[in-house]
Amino acid sequence: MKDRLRRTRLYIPGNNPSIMHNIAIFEADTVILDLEDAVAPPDKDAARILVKYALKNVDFGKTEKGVRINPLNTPYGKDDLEMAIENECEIIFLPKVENASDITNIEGYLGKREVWLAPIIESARGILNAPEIATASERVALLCFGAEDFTKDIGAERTREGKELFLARQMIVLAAKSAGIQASDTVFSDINDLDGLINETKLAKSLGFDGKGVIHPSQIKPIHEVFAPTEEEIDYAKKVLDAFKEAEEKGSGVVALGRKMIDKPVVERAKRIIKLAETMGLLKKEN
Amino acid sequence: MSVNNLLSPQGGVCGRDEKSDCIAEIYAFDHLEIKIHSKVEKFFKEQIENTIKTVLKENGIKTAKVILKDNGALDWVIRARLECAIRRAT
Repeated sequence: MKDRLRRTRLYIPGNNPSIMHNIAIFEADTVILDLEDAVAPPDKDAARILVKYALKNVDFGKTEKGVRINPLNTPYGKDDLEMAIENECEIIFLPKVENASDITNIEGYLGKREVWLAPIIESARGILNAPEIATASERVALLCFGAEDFTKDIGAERTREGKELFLARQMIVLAAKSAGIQASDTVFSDINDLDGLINETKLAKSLGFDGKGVIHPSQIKPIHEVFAPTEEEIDYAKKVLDAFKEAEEKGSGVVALGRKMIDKPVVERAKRIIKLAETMGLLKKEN
Repeated sequence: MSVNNLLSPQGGVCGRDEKSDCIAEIYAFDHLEIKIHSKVEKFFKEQIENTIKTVLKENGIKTAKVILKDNGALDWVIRARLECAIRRAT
C-alpha cells in the first residue's frame, strides 16, 4: 500500500542472517535489507543471494519488505534491482538519488509489478531537485533524507542539534507533501543516546516527517511513541470523521465542523490519525 | 564419473564463521563427496545433506567435493551460501 504506516525504517546488513531471523519481533514498520553501505564490495554477491532467500523465507510479520540496492551506475545495482523485484520486495530504497532520471531509469525494469520506490536524498543537488524526484513516478511513495553523506557533501559538520540540516529537512518535507507522498527523516546514529533520539524524532515530527530511519531495534519503540497521536489529535480526528459521515449520509459534498469547513486533506489526515491510534492500541477499533 | 567441468579447480567459498551462518566450500571432484561440520550434526546431518544435494541438483552439479562448516544456520541460509559458493566456482 502506497500510504501505509512508515514511522520506522530499520536497516539490516544484507550479509548478516542472524539479525534477519528476528525481523517480525522488532515490529518496525519497514525493514531495509541493505546491500549498499552495510556490505563490503567482495561480499556484494553473497549478500544479494542471502537477501533473495531472506525475502522468500523469513517471517516479516506485518513489516514491509524493503531492500536498499546499490546505485545503478555501480557494477552491482542492476543485479540488485532484478533480484529485489523478482522476490516479492515491496519497497526499493534507492541511495544517492540526485535527479528525476535516477528514478525513471529504474522504472523501465519494473514492468507492471507492484513495488514502491523510496529515493534517499543525501546530497546538495538531490535536495535542490527533491520536487522533481518526488514526482518522477507514481511509484515514489517515500522520500528519505540521508544526513551523513549530505553534511559531507556541503562541507558542514554534523552537530547534535542539527542546525546545518534545517533547510534540507524542510525541502524534503515540502517536496514530499506537495507530491502527496510520505517523508522519512535521517537515522540517528548514536544508539546509546536515547534523549537525543527522542528530541530529534520530535523535531522531525514537528517539521512534518512521517517517520525516521533506524539503525538499531532499540530505537523503534521510542520513535513509535513520539509519532503516537495525542489525545487532542484523536478527539479532533473523531469529530472530523463524524462530520464527514454525517455529510455523506445527507448526500452533501460539503463537510463542516461547527462553522468551519473541512477540506478533503483534513479528512484524510483524520483517517490516518485514527488508523495510527488503532494500530498503537490507543483506540478500540470501531465499525 | 568424470570431474564436473562446470566448476573451476580452485573452487568457490562463501559464508562467515558466525552464529546462525555457515561457510560453504565447493571444488571440482571426480565423485560426490559431502563433508559436514556442525554442532547440531547429530540431529540435522541428514537434513543438511539433503539441502546440499537439492542445491547441487538445481545447479546441474553431479560430482563435487562440498565442505560445510555450520554454525547453526537455517536451511535457507545454507542454500544461499552454497549457491553463492557455486557461482564463485563457475
